[in-house]
Amino acid sequence: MSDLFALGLVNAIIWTGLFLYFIYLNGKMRRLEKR
Amino acid sequence: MSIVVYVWILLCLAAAFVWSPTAAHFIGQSSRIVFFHVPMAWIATLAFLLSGWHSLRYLNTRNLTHDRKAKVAVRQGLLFALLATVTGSIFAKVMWGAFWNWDPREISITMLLFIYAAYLVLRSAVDDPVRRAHLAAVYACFAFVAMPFFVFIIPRVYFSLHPDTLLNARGKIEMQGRILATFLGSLAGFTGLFTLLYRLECRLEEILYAEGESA
Repeated sequence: MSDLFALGLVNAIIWTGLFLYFIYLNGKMRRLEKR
Repeated sequence: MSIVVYVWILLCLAAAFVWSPTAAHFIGQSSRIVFFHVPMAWIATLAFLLSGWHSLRYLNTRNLTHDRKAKVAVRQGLLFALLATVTGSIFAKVMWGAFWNWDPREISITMLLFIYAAYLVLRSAVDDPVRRAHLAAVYACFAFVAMPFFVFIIPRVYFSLHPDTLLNARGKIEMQGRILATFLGSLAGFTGLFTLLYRLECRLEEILYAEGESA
């Protein structure tokens, strides 16, 4: 595995993970606040 | 506050890839992982400490709000610990030739993942909210005592392939100026992001509790 590919992969994993979690929380919050 | 955090993280990303040089004794660009992997591990530690603190507060006050805050801290700590494990494993493949090397740090973070995953399993096994809060708080206090051994002591006692921590064994910070500035900025940025996520999920838990859906 090349060092550049590894660095890209590390960032892709972190940002995808955090982004999905953030979207999940925001979506759930909006649905609850609408009730 | 959130805009400040987002802009700060974007600046850190730019600094991590462009402004900061690569460190000596690392293969190619692999040293840049320090700006991402270490903050993940730091946030996981912070979240686990926070869960211990709120569990102690719950046992003192019997206020279920602290129980919910402890639960949120564990959930988010697990997320960040998992990200730290996966990113560390990718670094291990580049630097040490294998994704998994049974290094003390790899083992200790895996133990932490198991310990705190068990906390969520324990919670899901008890229906009564007060009993669940009591058991979870006591368990989290034991985990709170064990956690520093896994994070700070075991990796320093045994021989490890892992690079030096910020403050190395000689008690010195030996990072180059720009690398250190970017690293500290990144730590601050991720701490800000964790604060946002934590507050957001705590609010969510409060609303769920008010609606009678909290578990």
